[in-house]
Amino acid sequence: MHQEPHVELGVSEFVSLLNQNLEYTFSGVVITGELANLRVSKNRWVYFDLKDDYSTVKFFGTVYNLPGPLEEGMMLRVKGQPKLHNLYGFSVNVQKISLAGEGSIKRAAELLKAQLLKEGLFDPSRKRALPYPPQKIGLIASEQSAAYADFIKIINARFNGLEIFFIDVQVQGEAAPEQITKAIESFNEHSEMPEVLVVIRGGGSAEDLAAFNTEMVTRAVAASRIPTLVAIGHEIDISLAELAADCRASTPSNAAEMLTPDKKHLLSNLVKYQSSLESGLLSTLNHAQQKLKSQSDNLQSLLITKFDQIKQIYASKSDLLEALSPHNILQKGYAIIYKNDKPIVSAKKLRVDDKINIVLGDGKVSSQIISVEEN
Amino acid sequence: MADKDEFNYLEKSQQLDNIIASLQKPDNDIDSAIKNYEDGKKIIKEIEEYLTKAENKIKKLKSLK
Repeated sequence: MHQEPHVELGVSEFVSLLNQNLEYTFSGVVITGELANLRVSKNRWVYFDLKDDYSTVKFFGTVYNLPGPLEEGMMLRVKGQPKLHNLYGFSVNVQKISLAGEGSIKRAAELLKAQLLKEGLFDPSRKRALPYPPQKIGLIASEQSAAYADFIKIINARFNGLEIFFIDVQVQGEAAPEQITKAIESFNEHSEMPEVLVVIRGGGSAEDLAAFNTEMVTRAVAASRIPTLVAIGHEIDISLAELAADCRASTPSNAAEMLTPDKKHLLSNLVKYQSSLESGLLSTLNHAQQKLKSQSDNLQSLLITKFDQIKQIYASKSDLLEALSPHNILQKGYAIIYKNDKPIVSAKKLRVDDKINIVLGDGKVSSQIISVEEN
Repeated sequence: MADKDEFNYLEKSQQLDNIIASLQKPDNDIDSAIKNYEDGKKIIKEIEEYLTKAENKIKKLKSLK
């Protein structure tokens, strides 16, 4: 006769064996349900239930598992490991929490937005100016996406000589938030830090764009030491990552346009620069010429003044000379006496019978001395 | 990893602006005006070449972690 297996175990042995079985059977199980009884203990431990119309299951995790602020009634997809705790009973140890359904995603984004807004992540005062144009760009995108192709096409058409460092990431799906976050962190730690970080993705449904509404990506964008430009190709709802970025563009092409001036425009500006250079040089030459002319004029007028002065001095000296001329004295009635062509100024030089010539103002007479009388 | 002939557009553009500004100062001596003019022309040529010939380089990196 076959006997039914009979297992007898101690309590701890039972817990241990059950956990082994649970691990084997339910490794990585994902449970979807409505959130209830959420509570956080010591800012670290998180307890909550997921429920549906008929059942409730307890979960246990850490705050690091939370995708952002949550609210009772939200639909969650929770990956975890069911476990029977040796003291506290059954719960599922959380490995990953994601939101399920558009409604919950939207609501979670609203809650997260309100929280991050309160923390100041979206403050206009935090926004930094982007270098224009940057030399080195850090680009985060999916290599296969139209967004990537558009961005590269437009930037190549607009500007030259750029260095674009690129990290290929998934921009949707479960792995996207972590990949985008790590790409942002990688650029911030890279030895050749780019001057601007560009995160781009084409448009899509709310669920497609969910990565850009996660707390993880939003905080990474806000924390980036490199100024950020985020462009998610949709116009209606602006993602949280865009709100946290220093700058946002409406599409990846628009991002390329915002980053760089158009080289056609710059080249036509160079012609203006060339003519500014020429007119600058010309005006300097004109100015120098004018200066030279005024210097030469000054010199000439100085010479004329000097010449006049000299002329005046000569005129006054000539007047003096004229005044002192003996001819003038003779006009007043004086006379000069010459003996043997030598002027005589003393009576001692003359004797009786000496022949003398007397020069008067209007003529000459010859005479002979009759007598000499000395004073 | 820096290129030997690394060209910085912003720097060059700024230099050109400065040259033009000093060339437009009314009291500029001819020697420095001629030097400014020659330097400006050289920079314009460099920028022109850069904007028509330099290529954009794309380097693919891996995330660190």
